[in-house]
Order: sequence, then C-alpha cells, then structure tokens
Amino acid sequence: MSLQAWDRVRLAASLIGLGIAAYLSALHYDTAVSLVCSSSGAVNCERVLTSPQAVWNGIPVALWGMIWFAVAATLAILSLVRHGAAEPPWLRWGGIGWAVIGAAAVLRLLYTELVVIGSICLWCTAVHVLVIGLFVVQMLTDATRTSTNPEP
Amino acid sequence: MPQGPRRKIKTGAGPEMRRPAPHGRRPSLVWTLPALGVAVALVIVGGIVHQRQRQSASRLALAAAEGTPLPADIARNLAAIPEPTWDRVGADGAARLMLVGTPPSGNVTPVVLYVGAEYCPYCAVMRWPLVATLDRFGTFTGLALSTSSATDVFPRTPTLTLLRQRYESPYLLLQTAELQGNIQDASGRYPPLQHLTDTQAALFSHYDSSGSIPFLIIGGRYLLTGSPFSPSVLQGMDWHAIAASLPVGTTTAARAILSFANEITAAICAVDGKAPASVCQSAGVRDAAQVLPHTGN
Repeated sequence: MSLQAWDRVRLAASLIGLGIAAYLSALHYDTAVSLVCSSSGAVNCERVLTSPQAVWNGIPVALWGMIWFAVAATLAILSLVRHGAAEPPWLRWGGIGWAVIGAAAVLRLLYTELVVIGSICLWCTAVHVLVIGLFVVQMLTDATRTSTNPEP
Repeated sequence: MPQGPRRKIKTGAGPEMRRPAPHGRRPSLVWTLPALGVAVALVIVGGIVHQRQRQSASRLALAAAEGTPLPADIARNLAAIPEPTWDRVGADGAARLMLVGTPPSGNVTPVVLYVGAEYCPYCAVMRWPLVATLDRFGTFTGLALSTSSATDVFPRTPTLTLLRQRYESPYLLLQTAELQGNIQDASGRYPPLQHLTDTQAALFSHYDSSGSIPFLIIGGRYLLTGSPFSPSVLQGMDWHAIAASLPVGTTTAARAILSFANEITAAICAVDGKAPASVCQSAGVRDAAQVLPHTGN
C-alpha cells in the first residue's frame, strides 16, 4: 500500500471521527438530540456522556475530540498534497506528536470509563479505535515518510 | 608513570553514531505499537478487575444501606427539582394513568392511595415519581432507603420505602400500604408488613381484580396498576445517583421519573381544584394535563 493510500485512510478516519465527535458534542449542547446507544448495564453511553468527566477544562470532551480530529484531518491533507514526496520535519513531528497526544488521551479516557465511571460508551469506543488506528498508521508509515529525505 | 597507547573510546555522541541509518531511513518508530498495545491492555484488564471489585462493593453497600433514613442530599434533590427542569421534561409521551370513576363532588380533599410491596421492583420504580410529585404538594418525613428483592427480576432496584412515611399537605391525603417486605423467610415468602383498611381493600379489589402491584389511584379518578416504566432504567444506579440526576433532568432515568411525576401532578391538579397554582399552572404540568384522559367535565 502506498503512502498516499495510507494518507487517504488517515483522512477518511479523521473525517469519520470528526462526525462522531460532532454528534456527541451536539448531544451535550442540545437535549433534543436523541442518543442512539444503550443506557443501562455496563454499556451505558448516557452515564458516560453525562458524567462530570465528560467535561474537561470547561469544554466537553467531545468538543476536544472534534478539535483533535480536525487537526488530524488537516495533517493528513498536508501529507496528501505532497504526492508522496518526503515530508518536512515539522509535518512529520507534527503527525507523530498529534498521534501520541491522541493515544495518551485515549488511555486516559479508557481509564476514566472503566475505573472512574464504571461504564463504557460505544460511540466513545468507536472514537478510541479511530484514534488508535491513526496512531498505528502514523507510526507504521513514519519510515516511508522520510525515506526519500535522508539526513546529509 | 608510564602510559601505554590510549584506546579510543566510542561514545554515543561520536560521529559514527550520527550517521544516517541504512538506506537513509530514520530509526523506526514501530516499537511504539507494541508499547501502546501493552498500555491499552493494562488499562482494560485493570479496569475490568476494578469494575468487578466495585460491583461487589456496590452490592454490599446497597445491602448495608437498606432501611437507612433518607439521606439529606437525596431528600433535597427530590424536593428541590427546579421548575425549568419540570417544564423541559413535560409529559414525554402518552399517558399511563387511566381515567376511572367520576370527578369528586363538593369540597372533598382528594385521596392518593398507593399499594405496593418492598420486594416488588415495579413498586420500586413507582415510588421515585410518586415521592417527587408529592414533594410538590406537601412534606414527607419517615422515608427510608430500600431496594427491591435480591432474588426477583431487576434485583436490588434502589428505591424509598413508604413503610413509615408521614406526609402533610393542605391539598391531599396520602394513604400508602407496603404489603410485604423484601427479604424472603425460610419458606421463600416475603413477610407481611401492612394491611389495607376495608375501604382501601374494596377500592383495590374493585379496580385491580388480579391484585397486581403497584396500584395507584388518585382522587378515585386516575388509576395505574403496574410499572410506569421499566426498572431496567434504574439498574446500575444507586439512590444518590438517581436523586442527583433529577434536578438536571437529562438522563433517561430522570426523564422517566420526572415525566411520570408530571403526569401524576396533572392528575392531582385535576382532582384538587388546580392547587397550588404555581404547580398546576406550570408548563410541564399543563403539558402533562393535555395527555391525561379527560371526560370533558
């Protein structure tokens, strides 16, 4: 699979994540939006999304997710428009840094869901899978991104 | 002191180490993948173990709190649900109360009669909206924490027992009967707790020939036998979580409780001369009154 094909995957995953995060943000702000998810038992989106932990620094976690996916999509587009040419260091490290921030946030949110809240939200899990997937793609393709740009 | 030829010591900072990797590649970051996998696995396994321990502790806590007088935070959350929350939730669907009997004539204080049992999970559900409603018309004392039976369906549904309740209201009379407890004896039966008076028994058998509980009749006019919503809505929550969700009114549990409470409120307003006006004229109650069955008088 070519680097460009992987970057298209990154872009697609980022846009899907952006859509899910936008839906969860709308749920937070508009009570007329209905939640399509189980609300009882171990899988309980409602309990997770209405918990105090669903807001970080005064901003819903879902909105932070939107910001993260928007930046991830932008990074994917910036990689795509290079048509497979070597990436400058700022783009490479930007992608790596953003993926690490995302993965670290997923670990923290998983801990919060399982240990603090005691319920799992399926929508959040879908977002976590996308973030981890983007991390994996970023790390797997890292060598390819710089292979045509060796150090002097 | 004689010195032999010195050996050149390679350090990591030497020029040999700064040469680019073969084929001009930087060191691979693929090692981060198993590291992340291990971290995710640790969080998930740790979380599941913690969750199981918490569920076990929660069961013990529910059992230990059984019969405890209503804690202040729960009483406060039940009695101080903001009007905007009531209004926003409104009726939330079709009426569950049926129209029976005729409207009261003359200046008679309407009676609200509840019949249930502590073991019954459907009664456990009914008590939350009932207490939230009656807190709008008067003041409770003597309420205590309880759960439905641990061995019935929807085990240990958190609720409040009305066994020793006392209620004062200028608008209505409350009569309640918890017929049986929630812990089975050696023969598997739940112990009898309270008995119906002859008048109550006549009303109960007249409108509920199968004897199903919970039974709620308001002013002899509005009736519900059975659960207003599924006890599954309350599963996994404790009393504090349920009560804390009510002033906000956004969770499924809170909406289910408050919407039925609005309906009971509208029914009481229909039989007590629409008093107090601050309650009966509120948007949420008017919304609920529209879905209540009417005879037109």
